[in-house]
Amino acid sequence: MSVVSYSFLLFLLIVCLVYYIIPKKWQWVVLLAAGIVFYAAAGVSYLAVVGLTALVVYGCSLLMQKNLDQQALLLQDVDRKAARKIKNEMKQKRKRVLVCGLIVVIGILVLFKGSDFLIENVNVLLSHTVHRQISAWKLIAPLGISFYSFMMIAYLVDLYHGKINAQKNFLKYLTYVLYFPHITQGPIGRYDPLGTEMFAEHRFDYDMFRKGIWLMIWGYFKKLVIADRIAPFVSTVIKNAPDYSGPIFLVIGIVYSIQIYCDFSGCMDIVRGSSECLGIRLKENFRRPYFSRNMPEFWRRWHISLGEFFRENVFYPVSTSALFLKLNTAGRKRFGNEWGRNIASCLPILCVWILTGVWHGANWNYIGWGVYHGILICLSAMFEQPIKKLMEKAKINTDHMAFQVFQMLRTFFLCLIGRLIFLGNGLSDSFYMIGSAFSRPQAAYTMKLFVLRRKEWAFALVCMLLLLAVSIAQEILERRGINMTIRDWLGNRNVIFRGAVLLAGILLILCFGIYGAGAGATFIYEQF
Amino acid sequence: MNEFIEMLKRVKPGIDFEHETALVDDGLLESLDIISIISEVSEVYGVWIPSDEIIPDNFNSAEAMYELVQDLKEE
Repeated sequence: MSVVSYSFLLFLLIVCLVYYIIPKKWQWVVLLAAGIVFYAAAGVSYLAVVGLTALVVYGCSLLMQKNLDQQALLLQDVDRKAARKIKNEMKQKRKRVLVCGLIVVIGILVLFKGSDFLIENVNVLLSHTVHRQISAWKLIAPLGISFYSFMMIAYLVDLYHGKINAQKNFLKYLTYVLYFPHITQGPIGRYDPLGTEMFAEHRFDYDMFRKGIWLMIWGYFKKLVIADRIAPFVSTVIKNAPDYSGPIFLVIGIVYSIQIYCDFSGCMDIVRGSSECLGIRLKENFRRPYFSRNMPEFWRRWHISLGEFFRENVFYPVSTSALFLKLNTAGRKRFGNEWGRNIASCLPILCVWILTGVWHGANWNYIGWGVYHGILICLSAMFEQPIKKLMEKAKINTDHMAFQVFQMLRTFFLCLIGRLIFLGNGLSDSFYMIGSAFSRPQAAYTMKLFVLRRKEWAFALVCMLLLLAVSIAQEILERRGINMTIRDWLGNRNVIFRGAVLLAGILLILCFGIYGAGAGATFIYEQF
Repeated sequence: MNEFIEMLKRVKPGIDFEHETALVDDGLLESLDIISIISEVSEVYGVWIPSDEIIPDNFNSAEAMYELVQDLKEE
């Protein structure tokens, strides 16, 4: 069931009604039932996969909780030295359980998302040696497997570190995993605080409910009116990239950057809004990333929950391992603080970015995109201070708005090149598109090349300007340290103004959204 | 504490470690700076800060970092 469908709206309405009518202590059961219905709509067999994986994780979590309880008993009335010894011993035991749990979760993820890629590449190797081929398994991955698997991994790791208590009721744990607003495309919600909020009793909060609806409308606007309107242009050109040449690929990069932002952040607005209708706040996954002044900032504002996951579960553990700390110290002694730490951090950064690429799917384009961003992040860290000094010498005011806009455009351009790597049908297509983007076109441009009619482009542009205006307003509020969202601002207007905005939003989506076969059916991130 | 602040200034010059109380929250310290601080702490104090201790509360001020190091030292 797509969140962009009338059936989803009806489903949400029924869930909300039942959720607020029944006794509050049973509200979580409504969420569980809703999660099962929502997920089963994508295929009952998928439900079995996610259920079984959750059962294994639940089993591991109980074992780790038992260990933590024993540890708490053993730590009573012992001195610090003995306590440390006990903690280390108990942590070692938890590690075994953690590894077992991770093998199962990551194994299932790789089986569904990576087996064909592995077989394909093994076949390439085999074709050079023995003339035998392994046939592809062509497994169809369960909906949202990359998202729920990461939630399960974070849950196990948090338990291993003793940061949370295990959920002892399997059905409640399943409720958290299957929570319908976040299971298909995230945000990757950590058990703490989401679990606590999910199982608390919720009274109907009119203010939160209406703000949830406004957020959903904003999300539908981004997805149906903008993203789906410009999508045919991108897909038509990308399908036959070698037939095109010249700066059209720059236009593709710009349009796709807007499309993927409206698609993914639009979905996040819809799911966060629908969750707020149930009184449960989900983590913000986007903070106007195209206003970022450099790449590290961009990645702190785009798909925030995935970035945090990799930072906490890959970058920090790898960087703080004995080997990398030694490298860091040696590097800083040899090359100075800035260069030393940056050189020592390159390998963990590249690890994170290759994994981020693979997370999107086992595909050389995604891996190439990950390596590209890893290199950019490393370069950004390395040249941060030298460039700062250069700017000071040249007496350039880096806080001036014009310079900030230049930095934002530079970041956008670097992302755009990454999008072309991400988009290509194979890396050769990507390299062709990037190379061709900066050369003269072999054929003259006509409006036909741009697939959409002139007035469609004009309308899309008006909608993009509206999106830009709202984003700028929110950015200004945040930069001025005003703790208020556009929704808060709207909530403070009079009822006529609010009603007019609401009505205009709904009419805009109904009249100008893209509907019909093949439109609005899937989200880009749903396939990951 | 003064020595500790001097060490922090060596690792990340140009930051007012005496008074800042939102080093991570305000983006003054980034992940690479935190790793460098951990590396320097392990070198100077012989204390290894595990990755699960890397949370904003532990790195938002020099005082919080100092307390963390003392706690780990005493353990």
